[in-house]
Amino acid sequence: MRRRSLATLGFAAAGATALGGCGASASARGSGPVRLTLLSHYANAPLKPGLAKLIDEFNRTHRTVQVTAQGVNFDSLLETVTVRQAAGRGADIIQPYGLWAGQFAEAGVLVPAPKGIAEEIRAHYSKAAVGAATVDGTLYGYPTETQTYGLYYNKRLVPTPPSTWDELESAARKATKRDRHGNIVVQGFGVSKEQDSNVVHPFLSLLQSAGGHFLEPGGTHTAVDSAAARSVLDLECGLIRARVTDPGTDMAKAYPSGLVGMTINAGWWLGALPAMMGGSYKDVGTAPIPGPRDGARGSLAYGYFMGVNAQSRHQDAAWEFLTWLNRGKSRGARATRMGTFQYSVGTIPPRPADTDALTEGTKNANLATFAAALEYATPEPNINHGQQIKAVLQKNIEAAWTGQAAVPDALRTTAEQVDNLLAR
Amino acid sequence: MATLTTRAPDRASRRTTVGTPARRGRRQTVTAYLFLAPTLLFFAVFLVLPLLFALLLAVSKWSGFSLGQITPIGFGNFASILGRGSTFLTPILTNTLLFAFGSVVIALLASLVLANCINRLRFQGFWRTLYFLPIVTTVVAVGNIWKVLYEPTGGLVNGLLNAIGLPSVSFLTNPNTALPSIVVVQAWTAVGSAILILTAGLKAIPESYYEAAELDGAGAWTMFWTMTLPMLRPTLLFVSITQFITALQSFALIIVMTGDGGPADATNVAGFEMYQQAFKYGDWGTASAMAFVLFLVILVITLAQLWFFRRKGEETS
Amino acid sequence: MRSRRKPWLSYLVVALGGLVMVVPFLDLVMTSFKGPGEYGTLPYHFLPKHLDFGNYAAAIDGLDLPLLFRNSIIVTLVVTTAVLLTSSLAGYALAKLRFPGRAFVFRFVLTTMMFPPFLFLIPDFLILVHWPLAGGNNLFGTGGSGLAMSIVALVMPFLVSGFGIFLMRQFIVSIPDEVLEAARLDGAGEFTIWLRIVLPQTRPVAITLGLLTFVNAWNEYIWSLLIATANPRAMTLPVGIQLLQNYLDPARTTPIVMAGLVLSIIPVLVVFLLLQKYYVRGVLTSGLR
Repeated sequence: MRRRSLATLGFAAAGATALGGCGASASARGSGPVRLTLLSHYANAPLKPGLAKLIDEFNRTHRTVQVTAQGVNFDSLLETVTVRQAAGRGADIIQPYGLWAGQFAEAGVLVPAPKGIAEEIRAHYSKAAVGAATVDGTLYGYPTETQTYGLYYNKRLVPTPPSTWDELESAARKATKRDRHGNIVVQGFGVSKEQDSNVVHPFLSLLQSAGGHFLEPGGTHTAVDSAAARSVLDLECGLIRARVTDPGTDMAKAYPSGLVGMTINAGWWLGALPAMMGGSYKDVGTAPIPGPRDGARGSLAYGYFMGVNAQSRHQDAAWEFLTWLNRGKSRGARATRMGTFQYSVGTIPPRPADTDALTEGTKNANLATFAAALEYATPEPNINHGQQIKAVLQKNIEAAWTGQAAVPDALRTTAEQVDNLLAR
Repeated sequence: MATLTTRAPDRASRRTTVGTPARRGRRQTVTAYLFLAPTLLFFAVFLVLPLLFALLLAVSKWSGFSLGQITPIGFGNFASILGRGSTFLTPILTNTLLFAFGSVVIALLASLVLANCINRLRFQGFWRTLYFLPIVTTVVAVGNIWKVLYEPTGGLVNGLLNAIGLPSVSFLTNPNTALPSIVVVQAWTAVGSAILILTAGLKAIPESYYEAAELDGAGAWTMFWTMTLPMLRPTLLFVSITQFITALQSFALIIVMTGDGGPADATNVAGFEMYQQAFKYGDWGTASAMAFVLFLVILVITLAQLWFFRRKGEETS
Repeated sequence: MRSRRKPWLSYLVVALGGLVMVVPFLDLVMTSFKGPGEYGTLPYHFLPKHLDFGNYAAAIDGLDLPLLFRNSIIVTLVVTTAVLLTSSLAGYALAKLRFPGRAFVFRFVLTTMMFPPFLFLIPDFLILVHWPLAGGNNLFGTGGSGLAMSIVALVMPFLVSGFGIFLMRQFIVSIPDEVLEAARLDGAGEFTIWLRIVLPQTRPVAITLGLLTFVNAWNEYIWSLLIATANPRAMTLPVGIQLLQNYLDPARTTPIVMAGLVLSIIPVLVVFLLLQKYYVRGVLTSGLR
């Protein structure tokens, strides 16, 4: 009896160890080509197949290095990186959202870009793009996507885009339609609660156009409890109270369906709208986000970049792949592979040279708005705890929108909470 | 052991194979600990060790990737989450308490009423199974089902509201209704097992008590209040404590129904925040500190319930 | 016998409550059959216009059902077996064997029931990651990913249940000592006694505990979500269905997810309906007061 139960225990332990060992050791063995994994949020069309095509091209032409892409939904990306990193199974190449660069730098997730690569990047990429991938002066990878914000409007509902907040309010009122129950059928101006970015980024864009800023220089305190910020929230809450805006709507469906007069969103939407709207795409117009006074504009720039994992055992091969992808050009192409890929899905390429080469001769007025915004847009900060700070800002803005907190109180709470996070 | 020696003459021949009482005692000790070995080993690895590790993390700063980087910082984490500007006390902890209190109270009241009613009917097994359905399905199913029910366009609840002329309510996107909506769902899932346990308690009360009371002319309500309730006290205490402990830390339903803590953090509860701190923001020290604070809250509430029920017992007995 | 008046009020209350219990499930099934455009539009209608099995096809397509079912079944069976085994072994030792430290161990087991599981979420994960000599780890548990990436991780934290031990112990205490003594005098070892006498007698509580553990293991979400994030091949059914939403066409997501949920509920529902009689009886007679 004694022997039997001991033996069973022994078997169980050995079995558990063996089962556990099976999964992980395969990738560590060295013979054969070097295998790299790339983790990004490109999990659906058109980004997933686009990236897959590029990776296939690389795999075909490079026999000693083979790359596999892993795509997860953006909502799960941060968690996936953190959990897999903690489990010792991080991907060799990671494409984080710029906001997380500070968190990753603090945790030592990514290695800084090697000197030669960093110099090339600083010389040939736009300031906003480089900023997203830089923390405390250290550059962590190749910028891949750069986005800015602008005002989307429906030409049928809003004939001329507004250039001041007063014009925005009156245009919104004119465009609103309600049914007999009082439910809003067509919104004059749309705000969205879908993701934190939908709430925070338009706010920060408007903040800039109102002359405010989010972080004090030095990055230890927030400047969000200001008159400029109050005016932005007053504008948004005023629109909600006038029942010209309904925060509960799904903006991703409502605007393409022609049910929204104006809304603020990022440039990548231009890549998705034609497919969603078909013929009615001609109603889409874009303009700079206006400020309280004539001539004021505001926008926010954010980006993604691809860096190499500090846990990776094949860092040189990883940088080799990244250089091929972000600096190399396919035969006969006018722009780099990454630049061409991003432009094909409606995003401004992070290299100005690519933008010039790809837009030469074309006239895409809508895209021009976002390209121009790169000049004046304020970059999204990427300090440590950036994601948490963004979440705090989002929750407080939502509290103001729904009337749970008065605007000054909401901003004061935000400042306290953000300062608490900055001090950690 | 004494009884055996007195019976010895009957089984004298067999007793010699068993050995002296002392040796038997030792054999039982060894056997007992062998039987307990898997259990004790498990608790050592998956309870004691984690607790110690969690304690260490709670007083350290760590990003989770390399054990060598754990930096002890004293009570900094606690100061940060309990200090000014922290979201942990408000709204997270208040949400947690509201969530737990609301769902447990609703579930207790409903199951008390229902257990009593079911006890008077035929086909009791059928009814109890019916109420047990939500427990059998996964939280993913329950969460999604109710998310659909609560939808402003296309949901059953709003369909009913509209049918009687009321406007639709965005239950899950309105900060004022988000938490109560989820509380209802949590109570809905908890009713079944509460009914089951309360029924066990009800069935232990002898019929004769009720018959005697009825002969004395007591009405149904009086019988319930003066006899059923006090006798159910231990069962109620058990259900209340276990359900509270579960509700204070559960957040699977919240993840499924409101992925990121709800509108204006209205449905963000302590368990969820702790999970995010560790597995999203990579702040393992803060997460562990939150875990311990929540554990303390649970302890305090459990003790409070024990005290409360004991007081009530002293009054009625 | 209590008064013979028909308990109409009770019937009403219970029936209404029963409706509240059942209608959501009916809505689940109805929605799973609604085609694109039928769901999410006003005015609301309960019944689908026609039965659209397309959602089921899409759910089966979008989910790797064989993998998910396989993982869930393995995990549930392993955990249920482990809990039953360890609970009855430990429960017997605590109930019927005499040894020094018995009271302490029993109180220790009771204390474990008071610790909320979430407290161990983070440390358990890290302990599995740094398990020595597993998943590429060296003797000190560094260098690889330990057991965290494998399906073993899904079951490890649940193999022993303080509650199960408590339940078994309470039940076994009621087995008459004489039977066990007689067996001992016949020369039987403790293990044989446990196997041949105690175990068969614990059938009612074993079924209760087994069913409870089965349901809990099948439905477990948070820990499974964590492990699945680390390793998508170790995904269980609940997690798989929830993540399905991320990869579907938004216009049709909900009915497809509903179809996936119906598919996932059926096995547990069947098992439960078959065994519910025993479960109910088990709780009622287990002295759980």
